[in-house]
Amino acid sequence: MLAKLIKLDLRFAYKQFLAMAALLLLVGIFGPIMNISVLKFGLPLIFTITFSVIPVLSIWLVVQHFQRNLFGHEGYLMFSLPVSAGQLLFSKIITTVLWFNLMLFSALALVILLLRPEVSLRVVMADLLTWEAIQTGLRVLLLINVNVLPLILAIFMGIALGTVAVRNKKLGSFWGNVIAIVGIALFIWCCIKLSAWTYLDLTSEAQLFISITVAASQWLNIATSAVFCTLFFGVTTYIMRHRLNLG
Amino acid sequence: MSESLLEVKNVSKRYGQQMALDNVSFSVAPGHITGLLGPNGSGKTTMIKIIIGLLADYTGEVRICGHHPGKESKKLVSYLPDKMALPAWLVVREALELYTSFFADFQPTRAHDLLHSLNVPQDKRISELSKGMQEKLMLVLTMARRAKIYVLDEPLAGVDPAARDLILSTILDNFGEDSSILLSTHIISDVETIFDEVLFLKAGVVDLQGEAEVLRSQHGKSIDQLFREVYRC
Repeated sequence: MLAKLIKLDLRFAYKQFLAMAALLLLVGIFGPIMNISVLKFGLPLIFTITFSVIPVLSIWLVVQHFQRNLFGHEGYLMFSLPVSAGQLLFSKIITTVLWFNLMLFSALALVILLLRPEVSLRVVMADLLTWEAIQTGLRVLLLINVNVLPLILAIFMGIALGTVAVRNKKLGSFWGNVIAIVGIALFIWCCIKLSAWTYLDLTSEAQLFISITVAASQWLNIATSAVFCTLFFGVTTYIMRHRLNLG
Repeated sequence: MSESLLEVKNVSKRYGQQMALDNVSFSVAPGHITGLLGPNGSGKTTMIKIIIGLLADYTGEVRICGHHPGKESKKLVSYLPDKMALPAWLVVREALELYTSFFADFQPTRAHDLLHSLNVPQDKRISELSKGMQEKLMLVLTMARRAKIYVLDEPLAGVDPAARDLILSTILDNFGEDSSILLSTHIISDVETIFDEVLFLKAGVVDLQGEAEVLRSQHGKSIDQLFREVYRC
């Protein structure tokens, strides 16, 4: 049933995400022709716009879909399907990860394509397709996902909590958002604290073991994310099972 | 009582300070059509949402073929909501595929035949269908299942009087002897003849309940007349 749900979720939102990815690729392809280049705007600006606006936009789309699909009119269909609340949420998480990564790759492709006037595409690809670059890329991708997933789950939890209020939906939504923001802040604070802790004894001697410290920091980051994901997932499924209040 | 497909015992539901359902109990036996009657705001939809599992925060007990509302009960209950639950961009044919993939008891051939007889085009998007057509589509999807219980929330509300007979015959022709129907409505006159049992809800409380025929003979009135008497302002 989970596979069917994932298929259904992909069908529910594929047009929006594929259109966004196609738009990014088109900007990348035709940008240099229309005098939009990395040289003109500067690499930091292009990077900032691409890797902040696009993920935020894709998270916004995912959140909109989550709200409409589970707690809007479509919820009448979704919650009458013979599946568990956990399956419903898990399918949303899997499709969210898929869409988010599609957007990340599209953003990366956009930057590479916009670099064409300055650097040959062949040179960029040759640099990117080395074993070391692929390993680093995968590690970065994993860490981005590890850090984004709790944020999305916190927003899902906030939306679900917001529906518990039956008398005043707006107030419920407000408190749901507040709890989601507190959850996100707590996660970020924990990550920073734990990350700082691994670097506490970073004396000149310890710098020899910097790779060990970085690895430890990354593993702590993954563990923190897992704890927060479990917490947010648990609260959301609890609401869907025991406090569901479809309006 | 033990043979009932649906058992509702002492169910209460609050929305804040407002009591939406107060100690409601009833059961639905196999082969029976039960009318859940009451004006707008009497608690009919709340009761149905609890049975389906769309409302989880209530007190009391609901059993569907022995199961609490949940994954197992949803395999046995075919639900017609009072609003369009399918996404507007979905093509009718795709809606049938969706039901086929999720409900093991869904009969696509029957659904095709019903859509054909109700003149619902299969190649159009739901957004392109009129409100009446959308309701017919939802009814077809609901009745094309071989479910144990059909829970129909206001199936006649948005349908013109001319189409009501067609809707009713679709409902009656497509449920088996071992199945039951729980039908909520505030339009009684057109449907009262199909009810085996009725339950009058008034401000969340069961005001009157019993076999339709017994109530008619006891009060010397039709169910529609009784309804007007119970809910007279």
